Amino acid sequence: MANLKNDLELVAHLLREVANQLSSLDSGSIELLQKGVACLEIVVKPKDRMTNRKRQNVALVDMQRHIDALYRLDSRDQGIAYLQTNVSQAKELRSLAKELDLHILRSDKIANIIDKIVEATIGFRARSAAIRGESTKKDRGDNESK
Amino acid sequence: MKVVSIINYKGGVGKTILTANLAAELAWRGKKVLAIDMDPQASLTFSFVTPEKWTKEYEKDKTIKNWFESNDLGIPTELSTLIVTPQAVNKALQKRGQIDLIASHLGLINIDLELATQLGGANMKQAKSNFLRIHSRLADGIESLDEEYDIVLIDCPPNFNIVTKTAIVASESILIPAKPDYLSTMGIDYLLRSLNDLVTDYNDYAKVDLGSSTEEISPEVIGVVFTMIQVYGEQPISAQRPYMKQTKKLGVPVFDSYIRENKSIVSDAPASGVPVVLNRFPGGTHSIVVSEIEEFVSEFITKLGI
Repeated sequence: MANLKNDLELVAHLLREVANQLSSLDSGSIELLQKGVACLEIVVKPKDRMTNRKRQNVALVDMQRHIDALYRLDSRDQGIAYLQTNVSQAKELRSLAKELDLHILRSDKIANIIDKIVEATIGFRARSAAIRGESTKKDRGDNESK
Repeated sequence: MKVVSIINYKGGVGKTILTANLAAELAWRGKKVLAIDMDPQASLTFSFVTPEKWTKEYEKDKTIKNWFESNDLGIPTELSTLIVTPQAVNKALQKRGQIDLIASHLGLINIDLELATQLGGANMKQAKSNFLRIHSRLADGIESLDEEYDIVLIDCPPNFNIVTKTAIVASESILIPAKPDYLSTMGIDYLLRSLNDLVTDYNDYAKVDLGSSTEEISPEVIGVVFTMIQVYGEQPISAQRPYMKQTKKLGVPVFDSYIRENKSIVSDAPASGVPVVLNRFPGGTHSIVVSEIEEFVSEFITKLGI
């Protein structure tokens, strides 16, 4: 009796795994399966050990690291170079812009997004210092010495 | 008596509407307020009195322009003789508090030229003495007022000419209304630079022994209040939020409260002579705007300690 129960639990578990995978299929694949012109192939592989939440946290830490780095830079050129080297993917740039609470349009190209990020982290300080007749480098030095 | 100048280099940020409503709400809360309109556009003046009344009763000899002119002619009139008590707004206040006004004049713009001609001198000592005398003129005038006010609000023009500088010298606090956009926030930086230059020059000259004791000045920026905010989902829209954050990041004090844009509420309100904050709207967007003004004024009172 105990063995039967264990077997049923195992079957239920396996069916849940299959159901999870099926739920991620797109409508086109389902249609092909329905018509019998395609078949399912089951591949067993180790589970990704990082949960979505953990992955999001890691991404947020990365974003904050980039934001901190950008705030430490003094010129727009340095900012553009930093982003081109460290955050070159459009998806990452959009995430960074979102983290900075920037207004990004769906139609914005990578160059636009980089400009907006640089303006929000470096540009506003540069123009403020220029208008007030101050030097951003000097300010940074002052802050660091405090 | 606290003296506060309201100014931004950039025009069209809702400065005068904010000043009128600030004055009205302070008076509603029992304060005795003197509003001085130093902007030649005279928008604050026309928020409290009709152009007809201004032409008939004030234009000739009851505006801040007349006061500057009388000083230039060497027969100074007392600032107190220019004070008027606008009827409509004071009626709406139901004797809780009071708003008095010193009206502006469209010709005030020419006073700057007059004052500029008096700034020179035969030698450096005389030039410095003239600088202090001209720039401290309004401060001296306010100090000599017989009547005691809780607060004096000076509505400044969007420039940093000599008339504006007299207002800054007379003030212990500066309130900066600004729209959260690229050009308006740059106006804050222009203003801070000009403010710093004025204070440095004035205090340098005040330190020099010129035979009279001139006190040094230290006007403090009480804060930037963001106006004309577009709200979506209970917060400013994403196009405006970055400018609000950036201003804070630059170390400029910023009010937590803000005033949203509402064209219908501000377009014809000044014509009645009663600022919108004194209207008791039953609900909807109008009442939200009034709540935001009330919230701002509470924060203003706390920051200023009145």
